[in-house]
Amino acid sequence: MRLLPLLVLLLVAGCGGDQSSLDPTGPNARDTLWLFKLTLWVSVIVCAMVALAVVQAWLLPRFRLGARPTLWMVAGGGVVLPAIVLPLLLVASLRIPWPFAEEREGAFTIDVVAWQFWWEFRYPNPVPGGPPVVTANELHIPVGVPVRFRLLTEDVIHSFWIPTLGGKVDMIPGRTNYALLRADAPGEFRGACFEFCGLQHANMAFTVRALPQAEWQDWMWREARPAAEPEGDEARKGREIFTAAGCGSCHAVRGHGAEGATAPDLTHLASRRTIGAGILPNTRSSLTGWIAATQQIKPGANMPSYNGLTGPQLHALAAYLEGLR
Amino acid sequence: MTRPAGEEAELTQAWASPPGWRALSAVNHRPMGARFVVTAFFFFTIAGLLALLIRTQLAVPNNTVLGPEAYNQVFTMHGTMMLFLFAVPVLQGAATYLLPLMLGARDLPFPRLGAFSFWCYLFGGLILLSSLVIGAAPDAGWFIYPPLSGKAFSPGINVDFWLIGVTFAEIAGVAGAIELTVSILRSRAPGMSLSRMPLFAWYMLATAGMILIGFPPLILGSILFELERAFDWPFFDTSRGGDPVLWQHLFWLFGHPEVYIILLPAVGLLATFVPVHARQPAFLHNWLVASAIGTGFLSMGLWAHHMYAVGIPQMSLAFFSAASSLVAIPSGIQVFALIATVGMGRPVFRTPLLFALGFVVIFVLGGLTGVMVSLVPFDLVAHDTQFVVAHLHYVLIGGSVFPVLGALHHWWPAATGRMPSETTGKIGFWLLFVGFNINFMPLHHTGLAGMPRRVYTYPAGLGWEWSNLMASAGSLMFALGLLIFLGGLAHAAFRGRRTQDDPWGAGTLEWIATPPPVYNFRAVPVIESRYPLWDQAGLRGAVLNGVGFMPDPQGGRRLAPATTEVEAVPEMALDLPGPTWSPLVTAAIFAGLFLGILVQAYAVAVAGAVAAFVAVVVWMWPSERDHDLPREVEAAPGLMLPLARGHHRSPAWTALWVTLAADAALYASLAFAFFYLWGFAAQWPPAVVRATLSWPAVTALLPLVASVAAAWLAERAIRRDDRAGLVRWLAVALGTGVVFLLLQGWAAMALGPPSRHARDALAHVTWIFQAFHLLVAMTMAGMALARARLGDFAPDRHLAVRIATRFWTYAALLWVVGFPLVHLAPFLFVR
Amino acid sequence: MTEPSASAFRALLLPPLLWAGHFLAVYVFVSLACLWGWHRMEVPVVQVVVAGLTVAVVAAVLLATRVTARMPGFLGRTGGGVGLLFAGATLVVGLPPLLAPVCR
Repeated sequence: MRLLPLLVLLLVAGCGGDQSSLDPTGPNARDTLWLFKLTLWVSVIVCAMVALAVVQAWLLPRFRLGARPTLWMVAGGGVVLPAIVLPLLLVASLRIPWPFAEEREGAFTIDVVAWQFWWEFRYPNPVPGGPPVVTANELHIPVGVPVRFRLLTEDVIHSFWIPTLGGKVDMIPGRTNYALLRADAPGEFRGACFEFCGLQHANMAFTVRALPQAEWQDWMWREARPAAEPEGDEARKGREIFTAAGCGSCHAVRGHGAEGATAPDLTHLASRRTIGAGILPNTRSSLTGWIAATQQIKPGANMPSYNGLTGPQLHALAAYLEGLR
Repeated sequence: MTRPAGEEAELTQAWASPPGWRALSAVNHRPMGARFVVTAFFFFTIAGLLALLIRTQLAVPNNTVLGPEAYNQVFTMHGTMMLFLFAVPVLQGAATYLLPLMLGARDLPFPRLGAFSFWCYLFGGLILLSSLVIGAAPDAGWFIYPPLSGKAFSPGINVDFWLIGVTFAEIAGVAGAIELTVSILRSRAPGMSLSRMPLFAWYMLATAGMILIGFPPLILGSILFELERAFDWPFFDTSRGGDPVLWQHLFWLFGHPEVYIILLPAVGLLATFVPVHARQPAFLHNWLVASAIGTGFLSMGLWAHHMYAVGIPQMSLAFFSAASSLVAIPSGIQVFALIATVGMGRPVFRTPLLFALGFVVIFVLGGLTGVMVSLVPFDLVAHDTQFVVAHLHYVLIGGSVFPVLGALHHWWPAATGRMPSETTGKIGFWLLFVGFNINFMPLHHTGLAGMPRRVYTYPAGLGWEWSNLMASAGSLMFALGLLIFLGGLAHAAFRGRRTQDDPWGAGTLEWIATPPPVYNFRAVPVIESRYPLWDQAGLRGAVLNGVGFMPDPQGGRRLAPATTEVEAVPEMALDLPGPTWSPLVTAAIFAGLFLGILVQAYAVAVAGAVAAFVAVVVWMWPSERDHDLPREVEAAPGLMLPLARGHHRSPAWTALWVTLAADAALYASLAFAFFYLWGFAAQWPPAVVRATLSWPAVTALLPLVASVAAAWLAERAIRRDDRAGLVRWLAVALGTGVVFLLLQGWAAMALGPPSRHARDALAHVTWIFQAFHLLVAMTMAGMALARARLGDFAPDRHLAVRIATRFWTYAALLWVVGFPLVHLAPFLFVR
Repeated sequence: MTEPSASAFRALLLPPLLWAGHFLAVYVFVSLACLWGWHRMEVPVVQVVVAGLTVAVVAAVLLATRVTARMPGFLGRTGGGVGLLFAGATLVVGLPPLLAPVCR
């Protein structure tokens, strides 16, 4: 019983959105849940039949069946029932739309690039002809519009899944896969990598925010802007440290000269709720801790621990990052 | 009529294995089967402890019992060991132990091959296990998908351990399957026609067939993968014409049949012991046989249902979805027929029937979730979540572990001569049954709630806490149940009540004497029924008194009848080999060879290959000259049968075709790899600037055809009793064969470097594959030539020549596919 | 091959082998047809070929089964079961191209 309060605490603690396919918010997830419930009811009927047979066979040793009724039982349960039910289920599963999408369908497209062990999202620039707007680990989609995801990977095989919206599709080197998903209501969900991808496969989540069209447009414009200039001495010092430590060789901060392309884009880092692909809340203390001890917090991540930095240097760096709204 | 005094002692002496440490040279099927089963349970225990580590780590969120590196090794090894080192070998061991007894045979037809299979399995397993000991265990999942498992992302030796250890164990599996197939087809007791064959034999026949076709794709895949890792031949590298999805196809071409390779023998065990305790012949015997055959074939057509999310065409997904749900029909028939057998009989509810109940309940639930995940949209939700973890454990533990444990209890008296305890059996069962469901039932929900598989930790607050804690508690209960059940059996083996013959009142032949004597049957009986002990009055007494085939060892030979495939008419007399070190030594040399490859000590590997060649030649060299052997032996009073050795229809002849079938599956996998990459990989067609046909490549065809003709002329010569002609034509065949190989090597030098593009790499594998087969054929022919000069062979006894000819022809036929792939395909790629 | 082996082969192995051949043929044909763009033709070539192939193979399986089922005893009954199972299986494998979108 002493565990109970602990459990309640854990349940309350929560961490950024729903990751359950049982709470569908999109049409594909909803249809699939319907299919699951259908198969579940079929299963209940089959289980009841098996249970009857088992009870007769194992629990009622006095009650024996003759050869003919038994033959009917086997033929009915083993042949007739599946021969009717399976084609029906198959047809049902072919009827509901699958989450795959083709190359030429003209839907609004977001590129999703999986990296060991984080996510990069590239949006078309709201200014026609502008470079793609790149962000990481937080996906924003407009509500009510089918969004096509172009799924790519930069290293090993990953799998892209937002359980509340629909089915998962793998990201495979040398291939381009597409997923077509839609959110029907605004909300915050959680997605993650679902193909084993190495040491930190467990810590490769992302947040999905489904926003009403107008709000989403606003967000898109904000996101397309270059990074804000650092304010205050500490943040300015942080920017110098950022440059001196070579952070910009992997990370990009648009407008600040950092153009690395192999780590999360930090241009609007401060607007995100979590860091490290969904593992820490985006606070001053997590930022300093993360920079100094990446390999302790997320062993195997591709960022080294910057444990040579002093406390004040770390705080300055964090102050700079916190200014990147 | 009584048999002569002293005959029984002579029989015992002929079949006895040496005592003490020299027992390692034993080849009899029962010690081998027992070693298989004990070793499998040894690996099962370790893999089970790894499972407990997994459940401990996942009991609560953000747990730190295991770090990510350790966890990835633990879950990879759990899956790898359970599937490759427990599930298949334990059933192969059960079959090795039980099949000859059930079929009325004195041993398997190739005892040394059976022993070799065991040692390969043991050494492969130990190689794999050693990686865990040195902390460098495979860590890329039991499916080791590239590129994660490729050199770039897994530079360590971990994945190599997987490739080497698993391939070694797979070779053991294929060797065992060849042995079992021939055993079932050719060594049944006289009169045991296909219609009277016990169900377990039917199920093992189907299983062996699946192993022969299903294992080669993985063996080929592993060879390609090791070539990529060791020498940078780019089969799975997208930048050079490879494709990681090719590995997935090869893996699941093996991996899905594998599930049924595990399930079918277990159902076969059930179908054999359930009728005993239900005191009722298996209901719908014919349907069960049809279902076993049906499941075997259908399981070959649904490998891609593990790959729905990969992005293969939707059309193909629909195919595989349809084929997948089809398996439900034969599975349903089998489950209901088993229930019906109990429901019609007069069951005695001992432990084995409880395990049958456990099988029915758990396997049906696993089957139903299986139908769910066969549907594409639902699978895209469930795939790689804990739902699939639950599903596969329902199928595999329900479908295999429960039947195996029930079978252990059932056949324990036959193996040990002592009765197992019903108390520990039943307590053990209920703990296992309840513990299993507490463990895995909640994981269905966890998976739908979005928890991935193969994660070393998970955050709190996503609704996964209670189910994980419950699962971990259930795993402890399951482990306790195993401890009590297996402890009870171990105790019974030493302290249990001694059994009388046939304690359960069973109907099949393995219960004639309990435990059976070393020679299994005092005389091999004539069978007239599916349940001979139930239907053939006086059978036990007759067999024990030596009435039947081959009661007399005739000078200390291990004699047994070989029969025809369908009607089991006695055809010839097998004269089986006794204890020998050849299998152990050969397997040990192979282990050295593989270890050399593993640690990249290629000098060791080459030395190992040479030693292996010598060991195999020594093994295959007959210990007696033809003219020292009797032509015929008296099989039963008044019935003379020809000796099988060298006879043109000896079981070795059957084994040749079975082996070629498995080898053809290997080659077909190679061709599949080529066409798959051609059709689907990026960077195809390869950038060929100019295609030329080198003259050695074309010229080589001439000596190849000539060598085949010479081999056939050699066979024709010996049929006409022309030994000089045999020697001459074999020499011609060998000479032309050497010329072919030289030209072939020359032509290969003109091919592109294998690391340039997947096509170049495949071209090299293709010609080496063919050259290797021709070398094997030449070795056979060379040995035949040497034997012919020593005076062996006669018009009616020249099997070695026949086999060499057929193998030679097969090797040449490989080039019918190989030559176009290697030398003509580039013309299609010229741009 | 002796006579009983031939009938055992026909009874127990021919239907599943026909099924396997049909499976491979349909799979390879559809893959190639998609690669070559046949699905964009005005006549539904892919569907017609698959349906024709399926009908032919189901008929072949059923014919073999009819011969088998006339045999007395074990082979007749078991082979009859195998034949019916694989006739159904062939039919089901032939269905998807008619139900699902081809080449997507």
